[in-house]
Amino acid sequence: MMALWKAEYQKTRGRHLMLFVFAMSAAGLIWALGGKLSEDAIAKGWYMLLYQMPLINELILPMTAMLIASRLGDLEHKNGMMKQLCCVAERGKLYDVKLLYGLTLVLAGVLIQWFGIIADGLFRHHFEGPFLLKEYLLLLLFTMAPTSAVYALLHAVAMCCVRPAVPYIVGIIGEFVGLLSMFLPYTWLIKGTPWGYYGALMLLWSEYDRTTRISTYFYREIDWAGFAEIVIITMVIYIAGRIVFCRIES
Amino acid sequence: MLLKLYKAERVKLRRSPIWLIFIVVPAVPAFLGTVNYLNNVAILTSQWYSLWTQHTLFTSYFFLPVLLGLYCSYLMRLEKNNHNLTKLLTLPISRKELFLVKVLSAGKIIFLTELWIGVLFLISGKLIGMSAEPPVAELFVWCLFGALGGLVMAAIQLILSLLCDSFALPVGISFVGGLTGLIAMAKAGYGHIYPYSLLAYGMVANNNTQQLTAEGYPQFIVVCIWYIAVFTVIGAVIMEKKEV
Repeated sequence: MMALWKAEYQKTRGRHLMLFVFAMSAAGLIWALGGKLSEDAIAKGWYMLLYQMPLINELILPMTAMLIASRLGDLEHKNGMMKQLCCVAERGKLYDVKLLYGLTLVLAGVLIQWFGIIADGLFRHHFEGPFLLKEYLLLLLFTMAPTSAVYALLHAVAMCCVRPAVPYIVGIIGEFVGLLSMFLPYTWLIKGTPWGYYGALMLLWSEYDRTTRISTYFYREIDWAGFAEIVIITMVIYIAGRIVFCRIES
Repeated sequence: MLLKLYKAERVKLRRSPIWLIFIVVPAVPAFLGTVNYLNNVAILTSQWYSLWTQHTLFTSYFFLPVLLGLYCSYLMRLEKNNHNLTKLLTLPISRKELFLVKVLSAGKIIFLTELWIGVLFLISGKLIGMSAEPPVAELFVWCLFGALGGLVMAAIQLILSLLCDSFALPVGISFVGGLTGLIAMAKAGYGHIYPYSLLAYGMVANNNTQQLTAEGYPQFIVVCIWYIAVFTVIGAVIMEKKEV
């Protein structure tokens, strides 16, 4: 397993995967915190980010997952590498290592963003009020869970399909459904795809007064059932993807 | 020669998965945009125009740029697979025309995508029983200008795909480009000249900020043609100087 991990690192060295992750995280941070914030936004900064980040994550993180999954899958499909690799390594282990390697990169992006918004709130914008540690830890957990599910799905697609465009097709459609499900009241749509869980696990909801330009944030009940569902979905996707990959001829 | 190359390009694209993307992906925002419109019909009072923004707002900033990135990566990937480009560059054909043909092929797919978006928009409006007449002439202009703005993006993406061996990197850049396009349009006010904003600007996806009006059409066309010409020339020069 360790040898496969090292081989994965060697294969991706110089392919700037971490740079991808940094660039995507930077795009998310600029989007969330770029420009001049209003007084109201600074006063309620911690709440504002708790509300806004799931929407930004919904766009940025699945896209990062798409790029990494497609890139890692394509590495093996190109020039018949998969055939050679499967002669010396067990297919299941190869699937696991590539999943772990890619997931580590994507979750590193989640952490960069998470630390980035906290650092900005503490040291740059100096948000008013105490730092909401419990809520931000929950935000981290509720970001990592759907991201893992999305990555597991895209990884399965990238490993099983030779064409590198296929993970993108699945990813774009899923991302769009997930994004719009945040604005629609249908549970079947919100919880119908792993992408929708970014919205389902949101901690706050908001009301914006156009005349006063003031946002008011309200706590939502934490959807632990939703969290359990996405963990189960991740497991199911992982097992199904692994079985299919182990059965197909490369 | 240009026509022959274009025909060869058509043969390469026949039965390719790109057509699946072209048909399926725009159908998703059309369906969800319509559902969103129906849920907010009390505040979205401009009928067809409100429906259009619901169909195109997210599509033009996030999903069409990625789709264009995919198209262009795929077009170049066709040549890079099995050292096809190396073989192609040893043939007695104009390398500049080779790049131009890629731009034309991308243009054709973009135009068809825009038309498909337009058709889906009309079908959605009719299905939900819009009482007003559909703005067919305006719709055609939005789709045409969307295709023109998209072609600017495609010319840049083709250069990136030519330079990068990776399939994923240009697609990622395209996504970030779409995001910067949104920032350029909504925050900086440069939507009318920033290459990655022109698609959304041409499609009139924004209802309130920097709306493209009839007076702005000539300027939009000139800006797009200028960019397309510049990036096509840059791409052609890169192709010309490429080592076999």
